[in-house]
Amino acid sequence: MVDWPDPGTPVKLTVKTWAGLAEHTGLALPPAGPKLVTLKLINGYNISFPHSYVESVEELDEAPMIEEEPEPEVEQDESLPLVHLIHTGGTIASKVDYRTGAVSARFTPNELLDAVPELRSVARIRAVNLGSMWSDDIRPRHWNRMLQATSEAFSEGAVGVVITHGTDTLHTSAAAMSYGWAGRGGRPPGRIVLTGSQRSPDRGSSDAAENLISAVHWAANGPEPTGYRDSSVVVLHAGSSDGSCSVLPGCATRKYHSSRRDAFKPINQEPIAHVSLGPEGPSIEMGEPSAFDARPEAIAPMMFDESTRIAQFVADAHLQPDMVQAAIDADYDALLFHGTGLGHLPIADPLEDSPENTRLRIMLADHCAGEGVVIVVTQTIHGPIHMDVYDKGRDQQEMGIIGHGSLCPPSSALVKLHHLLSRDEGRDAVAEGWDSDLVGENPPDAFS
Amino acid sequence: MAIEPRGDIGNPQDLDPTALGFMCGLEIHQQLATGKLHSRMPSELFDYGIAEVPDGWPRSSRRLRASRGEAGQIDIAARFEHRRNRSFVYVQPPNAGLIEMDEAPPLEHDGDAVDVVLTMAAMMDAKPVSALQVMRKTVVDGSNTSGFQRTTLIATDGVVDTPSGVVGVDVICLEEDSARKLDTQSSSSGETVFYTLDRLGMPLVEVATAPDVQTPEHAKETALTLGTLLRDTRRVRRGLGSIRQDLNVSIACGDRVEIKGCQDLDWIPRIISLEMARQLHMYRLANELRSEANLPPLPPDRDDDKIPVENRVSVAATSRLSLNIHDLSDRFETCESEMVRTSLSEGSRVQGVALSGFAGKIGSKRLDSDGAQLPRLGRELASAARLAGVAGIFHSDELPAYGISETEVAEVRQTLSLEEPDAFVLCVAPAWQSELALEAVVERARGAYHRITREVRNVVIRKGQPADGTTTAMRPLPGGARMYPETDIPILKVSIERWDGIRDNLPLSTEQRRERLQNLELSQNQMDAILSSEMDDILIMGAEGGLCGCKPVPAKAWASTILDNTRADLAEGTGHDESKVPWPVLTLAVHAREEDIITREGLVPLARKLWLEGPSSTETEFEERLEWFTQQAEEAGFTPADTGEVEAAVEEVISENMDMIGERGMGAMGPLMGAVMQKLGGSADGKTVSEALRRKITELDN
Repeated sequence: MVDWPDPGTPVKLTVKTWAGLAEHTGLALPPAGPKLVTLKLINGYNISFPHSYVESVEELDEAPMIEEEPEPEVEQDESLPLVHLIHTGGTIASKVDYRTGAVSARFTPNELLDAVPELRSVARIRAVNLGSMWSDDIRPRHWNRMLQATSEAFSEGAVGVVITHGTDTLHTSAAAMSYGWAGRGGRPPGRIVLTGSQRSPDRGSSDAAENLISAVHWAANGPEPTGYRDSSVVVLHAGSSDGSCSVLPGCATRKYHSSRRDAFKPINQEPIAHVSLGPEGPSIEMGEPSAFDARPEAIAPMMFDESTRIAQFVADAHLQPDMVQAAIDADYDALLFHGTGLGHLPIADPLEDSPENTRLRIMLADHCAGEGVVIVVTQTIHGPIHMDVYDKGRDQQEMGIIGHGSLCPPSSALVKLHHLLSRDEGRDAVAEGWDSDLVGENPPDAFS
Repeated sequence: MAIEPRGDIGNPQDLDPTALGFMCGLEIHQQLATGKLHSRMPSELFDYGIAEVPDGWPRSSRRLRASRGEAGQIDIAARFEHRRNRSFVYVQPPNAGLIEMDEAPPLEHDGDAVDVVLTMAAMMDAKPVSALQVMRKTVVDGSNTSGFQRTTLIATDGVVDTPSGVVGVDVICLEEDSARKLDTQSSSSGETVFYTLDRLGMPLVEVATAPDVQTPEHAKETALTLGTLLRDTRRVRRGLGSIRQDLNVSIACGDRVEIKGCQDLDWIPRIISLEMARQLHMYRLANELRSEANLPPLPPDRDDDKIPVENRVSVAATSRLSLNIHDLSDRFETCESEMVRTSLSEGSRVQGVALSGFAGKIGSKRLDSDGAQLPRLGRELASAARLAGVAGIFHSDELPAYGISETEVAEVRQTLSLEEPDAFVLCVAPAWQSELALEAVVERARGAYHRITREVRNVVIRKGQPADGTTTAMRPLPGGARMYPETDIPILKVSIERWDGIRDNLPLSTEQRRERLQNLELSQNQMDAILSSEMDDILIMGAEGGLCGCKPVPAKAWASTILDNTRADLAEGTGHDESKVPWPVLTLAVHAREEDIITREGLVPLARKLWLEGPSSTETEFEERLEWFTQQAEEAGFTPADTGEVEAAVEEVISENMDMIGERGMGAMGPLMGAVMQKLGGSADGKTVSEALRRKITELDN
């Protein structure tokens, strides 16, 4: 075991290499991997060696050269609209320690305004920290915290809220903000924007700053939300190029690419608007105007029932009935199937060689008959569920499987289902809610 | 206390490196001939300019954010970057995918590239790093889509042997090459730089030597030695732009600068001498200024600098040279200089600052005996101004000139309330830009009271060549703060087996290769040509035989065949590149020719036939292929006539043409050759016929 000094201590490290002993002088760093020692050389390189290679470690006398970066001081323009910036984690609000490469959260308004000075002329920023999470670790209880934070922001006079979020499940949280504020027919008191970044802010090429500027610009200056499609919006890069971000309906958006800047696309509808970033600052170009009147302002969001449990299954060659039975036996509140194509499940056995299909059909029919909630959405992401086209679809409807006619994309559907279950009004109310267009997830004019 | 540095700045080549405390090291960047480093794309360059780029290649437009300078503060260059609103258009060639577009995370190192660099490390007796960590080196000029260059330290502490002595090698790194600039277009809304991504991500080895280089000539020698060593791996790219040298130069009374853009090794000694002269000049100028201002002198060795003294000087310099920019545009409305008038009519302003006490210090143009511009502060001030993107400045030491009249100079002096010892600098540009430029000028002029700063300098290039060997300032020397770990690529452990395998199989050096060719009876020219085209392995393979069962072929004949146009002739019309001609085909054909199985004329057509239609060399025995080949030769009439037949035909033609021989002697060779060849049909070997004919005519003449 090597006794490695505290990070920042100047050291002289002598290591065995296969070509003889080598000496390296630099600052000790936390190890870059298990059983490694790592130091930063004067030329900037980090260098690592396995413990077994270390011949000697000598601490040098000079004082450690760790400089704490002072908190920058930034004045804000009091005449600008107030926007709350709610930090939940993710790449966008991270900063890198240039010595170690360690990533930590950046969420004080001063740090943020210092890093993205353009924000100073857009809005007054108040930052709220909900904690730093990987977005894949987010659960419905965190949706509730976000709803709570947006509610507090509006009551403190914010005209808009920007939630910075990891991108992987950003669209799901966006849907949660929409259903929470507008699922019962109202509209949020201000604009709610979710944004993130696909390239970390440490690099010159990061999309973080443009996404953030566009998001704050929309939160500060966008049109009043109507409650339809726009209760929450997702703002990120529109294409691989810089200079334009799209404003997408939070209830019908999806991350469709794991790494590109333009990973987010609206599903079954068009973007609400674009924010252009020219030399004169950000500007909004609206898409087609909404055909709907603004809804009444909601006083408070409706929270999600944190005890609700939904079991999801993918319909394909390996969907096994005993898994479904296990969920039924475990009293899940609803079963959500990601069906194929127009919304089909493997429940027919035309060659009479696949008894599991028959078993699944009987199981689901029984479950629906017993007031169980079974919903189908489509794996194709885009396009409607249409269970009138084939016999099988009609069978599914007859069995009581809900979903026919819906355009709600799968991740939004999961949140919609949770929202409807949280109302606790029984199966028929869920079915009725499913047919409706609660927040713009199921638009009558969808053709894209 | 060090002694005052001596030497005549007017004769840079005569400066004494040892006496001046000369220190110099090299950084060599050499492209490797492997796939790209962190994507699995091929390393291929597409020779297109901006006008020829195919329409189908996608383009993306990006900006880079550099909110802070490398020193942690927002410097003039960064403020200029921000103001000029520069954007980058990246053209995506077929060998650039999502990784090159910065749209997907990078992959781990190309294994071949790591092996090549480990090989180089072993050749330099360097100490390998066993856990390789990729670092990101911040780059703000847009030449990397990500905003940084990926680089990995592979080994440290090696040596190279140069004829004048050993030079230490501090670090050996493996880096990604940058994108290739196609064009820069300016418009009122900002500047757009076009890059193509074909070169982005190609592997480069960076070798940085210790400051062991002793003289300017030794720097050239070191560059040559290192270049040869790297090429000895036979795994590096060749040709224009595949290798670059940077020079680190200082003398005791100056400081370290990094000089980029020395592509031509012959220029290296001159560039270095001129830099020594520049450092010496700036040191002497600093002391002149300090003495006139009654400030303590600058010590002759930078190690003796005292921070409190320099701080005091800095305060004094700042108070003497205040940043007070005046708009002087109305004095130049009728200026004779067309450049000034046009700029004014397009909305630019003429602005100026006073440099108190600088009259005669800025200097005017003087050349050394080789025609290089001698160092002067004026060029440094102009370099500083260019950080703000302006083309240049006017200063009072060279005015009146350039269409600026005596009267205008006098008016400026009056407006700025200048005394005789004072100087001024003018800048013609849009107001915001000339303000930045003049701020940079004043900052640089204040710096003239101090030792030169560590910076990166560029060789001045004109028409693709160094203009005269002088350099201009580009940016401050970056510190280690530019680098931080690449978190997307895990640490790569190099095993001892890998290292041992590499060390046990080091490539031959050029000398060893030359040695190998000694016994093959090649001419010196052939040997050099074979070595420089890296064909010696092929040569030996043919000369020793055994390639797909082939018999050895005479080395000299084999050498000419692989060096001359035979392969190109062979490939002609086949739709294949000459590099695709299989060696077993060629060795067999040359063997057949040397054994008189075919005529010389038959070599190309028959070898082409063997290549395209003949039995495969991997599946068919040599004898069987040779039989097929011989049969084809017979069918096509490319078998040599036997000597008796040739002799008979020659005799016959001579007896028919005795008169002509009598008249013309050897001059009859040409026409008679034709006649003999006609008699023999296609089967005669031209060389045999001409030998026989010449012999006969000589006999007759005698």
